[in-house]
Amino acid sequence: MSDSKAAVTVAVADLAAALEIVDGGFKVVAKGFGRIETELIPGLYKARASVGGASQEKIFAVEEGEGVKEVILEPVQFASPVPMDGTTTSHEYHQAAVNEAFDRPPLQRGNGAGFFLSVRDPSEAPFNQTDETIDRYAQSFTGFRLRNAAEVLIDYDQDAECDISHGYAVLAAELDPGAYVLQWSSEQYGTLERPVLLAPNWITQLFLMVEPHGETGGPLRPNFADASVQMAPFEFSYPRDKYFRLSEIARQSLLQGRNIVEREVMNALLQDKFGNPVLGLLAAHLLLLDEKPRLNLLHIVMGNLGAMLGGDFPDIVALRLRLDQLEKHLSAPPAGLSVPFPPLFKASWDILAQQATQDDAFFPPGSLSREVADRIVDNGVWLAWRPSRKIEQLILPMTDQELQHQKWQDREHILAAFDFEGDQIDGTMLLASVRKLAKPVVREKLRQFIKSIDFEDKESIEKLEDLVVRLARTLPWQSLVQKLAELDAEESFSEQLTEVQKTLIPNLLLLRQALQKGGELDHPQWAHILDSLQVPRAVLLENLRDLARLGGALATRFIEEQSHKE
Amino acid sequence: MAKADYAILLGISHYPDPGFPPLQGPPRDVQRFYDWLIDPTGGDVDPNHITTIVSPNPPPTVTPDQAPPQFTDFQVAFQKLITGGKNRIEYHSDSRLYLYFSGHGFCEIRNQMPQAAIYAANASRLFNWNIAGTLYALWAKEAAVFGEIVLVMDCCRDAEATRMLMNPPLPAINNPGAAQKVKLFCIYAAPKGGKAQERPVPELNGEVHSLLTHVLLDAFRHAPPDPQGQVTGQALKNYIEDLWPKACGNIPADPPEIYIPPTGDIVFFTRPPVLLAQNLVLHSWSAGETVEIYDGSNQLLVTLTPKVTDGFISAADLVWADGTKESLPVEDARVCVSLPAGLYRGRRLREGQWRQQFFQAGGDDVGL
Repeated sequence: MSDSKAAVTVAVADLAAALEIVDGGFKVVAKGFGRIETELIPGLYKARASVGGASQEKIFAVEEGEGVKEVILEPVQFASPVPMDGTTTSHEYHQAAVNEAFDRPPLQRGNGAGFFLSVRDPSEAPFNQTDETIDRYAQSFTGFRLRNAAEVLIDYDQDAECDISHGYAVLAAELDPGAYVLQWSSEQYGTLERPVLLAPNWITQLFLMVEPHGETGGPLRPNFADASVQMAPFEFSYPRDKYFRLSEIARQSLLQGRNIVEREVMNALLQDKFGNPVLGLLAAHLLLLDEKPRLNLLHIVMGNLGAMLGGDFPDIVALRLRLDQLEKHLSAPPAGLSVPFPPLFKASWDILAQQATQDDAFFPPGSLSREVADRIVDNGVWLAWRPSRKIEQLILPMTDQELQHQKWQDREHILAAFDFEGDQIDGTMLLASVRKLAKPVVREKLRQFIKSIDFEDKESIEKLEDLVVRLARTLPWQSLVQKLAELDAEESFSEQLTEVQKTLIPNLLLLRQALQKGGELDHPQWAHILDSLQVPRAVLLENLRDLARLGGALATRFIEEQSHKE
Repeated sequence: MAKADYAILLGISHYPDPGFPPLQGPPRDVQRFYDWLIDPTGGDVDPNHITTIVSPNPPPTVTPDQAPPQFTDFQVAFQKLITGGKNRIEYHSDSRLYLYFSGHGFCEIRNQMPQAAIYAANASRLFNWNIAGTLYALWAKEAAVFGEIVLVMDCCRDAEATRMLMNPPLPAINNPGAAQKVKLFCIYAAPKGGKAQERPVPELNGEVHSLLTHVLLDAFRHAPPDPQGQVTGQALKNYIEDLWPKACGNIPADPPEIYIPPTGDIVFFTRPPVLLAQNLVLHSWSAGETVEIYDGSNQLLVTLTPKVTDGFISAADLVWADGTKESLPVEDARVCVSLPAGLYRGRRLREGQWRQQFFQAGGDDVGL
């Protein structure tokens, strides 16, 4: 057999499909996207194409003396929230519903910018509902509100075109350009919010699928993490297939944190951004994942995106900031620059939040960015948060007045045993001491602790670590975790805690256990934990202070319960 | 070496928090992995060297925050393994450590390093208790406690923005020289942000199992060895990636991610190629109609000719490339040939014309 190679081209009718060629021993010999041109020695090979978890494959031979070989794979069909041809989740009746929604005059809530929301169930469930189940099933398409800072502008339950028998609800509206919040609330799952940024003369489109979650028979839940967000000029409205497929592969690539998009796809993303700026934002974030980002290209992208969406679009502010950081190391953003409203992409938020950890004013006090900084939740590549619950709190943190110590006995003795600065306190002994004179002592210690937080000293990570150690030592976290779990089971207490606090508490428990065994704070580990929280230093301090107050109140309650039992 | 290997297998199927739906696969998959580990033709590990931790069945009547297995259950098992119950670390530089995790899981969205953790049974929407398999494996590597580490994270890798992997409370041991030689082979059931799958497996009477563990065990048994007979991590990776679409069937699933040690591949074992049964369908096969099978390198592997008895084709006479001969029965126009895993070309000379089909051994019937 000769080793003369043949020029082999493998292509799939989809630029966004990942392609691989494997040899007879299953070793990958070539890979790429959409189209691979390579040279192969005679033998048997398999070409594989995949998009969104779905795949196509074909075995082929390179024959002796065959100079040129072309292998064409069928398009890969995959799941998508957009009811498009070429996907496994599209139905004609959903396509028709979306098209009709675009054809109708939009709901008028302002002028100059468009908003479109499609919520649909691609499964067979709409056709399997009975009189008993239909009402619960119908809840799957409800709970959406679009609001600005002042008021609710769109109530999806009232305003959307809804057809439960076909499993969809769609809405097209015209509003003033600006920043809005899409809120989704459900009795079962609580409330989730995400930003909606409406640029002049663009329609921002959000496509969601509802899916089963948890117990069977309950309402379905919208999958925000796998949402498709598109933008289209007023005159084109419905996203073209090419845009959607490109954005899908780019979204998955960004989610994996790797720019696995090849140059040809990247060029397509960049060229097509003029029809859909979301592609440009995705492309820019992907370029930033490269080991050596192509800064010139990023400049061009940013210039174009800025012209389309405006320079104060939060994602563009984030991308420009990152670009500046890459070009001029340690450069600070322009004086006075702040980002009051959150961006669309989580990756943009990470850049902005990193800046906010250095500069509290970057997320101005009272702004939405500041408000949600410790409430960001997991939502794929898109930013989302759980809003602060505007209800009476189940456990009220102690006020400063309450924290003023009252009379107690043996103060010096207890304080000596309960010394924040002491290193080798045994937790059990401590708890036993506290049980005797718990309430005033805990309050006094907490008062001291809270007083010790110097809000002016914002720069020092050591300061924060010191506070963490004090907090770990002071409160009986093992018992508090049990107490918190009980409260959550009884009264959905978890919504009172921020995401930052939920992350801190188990780590405080482990730290407490380590300290009780004579260990020390693992500085690199805690620096990583605090850094990963990515909230402004002031917000972190607020969280620690609230945790001290809340933990103190709970500890007091717990200790008193224990005392009553004894 | 295998008898001196160690393993901790963790499977969590029951989570009291409604945010984590119950799983059927983990205890079964831990058992299957255990069975493979102790099989002399598989992992060949001493059963006394294996610790299994699974959700109790039925679940105990405890409060959700007390539900086992918890973070400390694994931590205690790991500590016991690395210290042998003594107050110092025992080094097993010639041994391999298997760490197998099955349950609900996640990874950190901001962390670019391949990583994952499974949620402990007492995890809730309130507290993110988790067991970070990756961090335990990395600790074992940095401490150079074992010569080789095989990490299997059979769990989702939801990319979480606010949940963090919990660091193992283990002493920092800086042993860069030795650590550099340690080989760490990692398999994640899904890419970052992806979902692991459990499904009814037809070959196992429709019982629900994890797709990754099912395919991994298949790969352990069938991945083609190299010419020296060695089944390497790369061979497993290639085989799993190839088998994945077929294993998924009509319902796509995120593909696993497999990381070969950059310091040199792991040789899992040495064995001859395992043969897979492949049916060839030869309708109207008659005397003089030869069938040839070529391997992936276009080398002629075997020639089949019909054996006619009483006017009927009763068998196929096979002549292998090395000259070996055998005769196989032909029933209902089918002849079952045993072939190593790989790609093949079958061709049949019929009425003076060659007809050919490409196929993969162990797949559907091939009509020629």
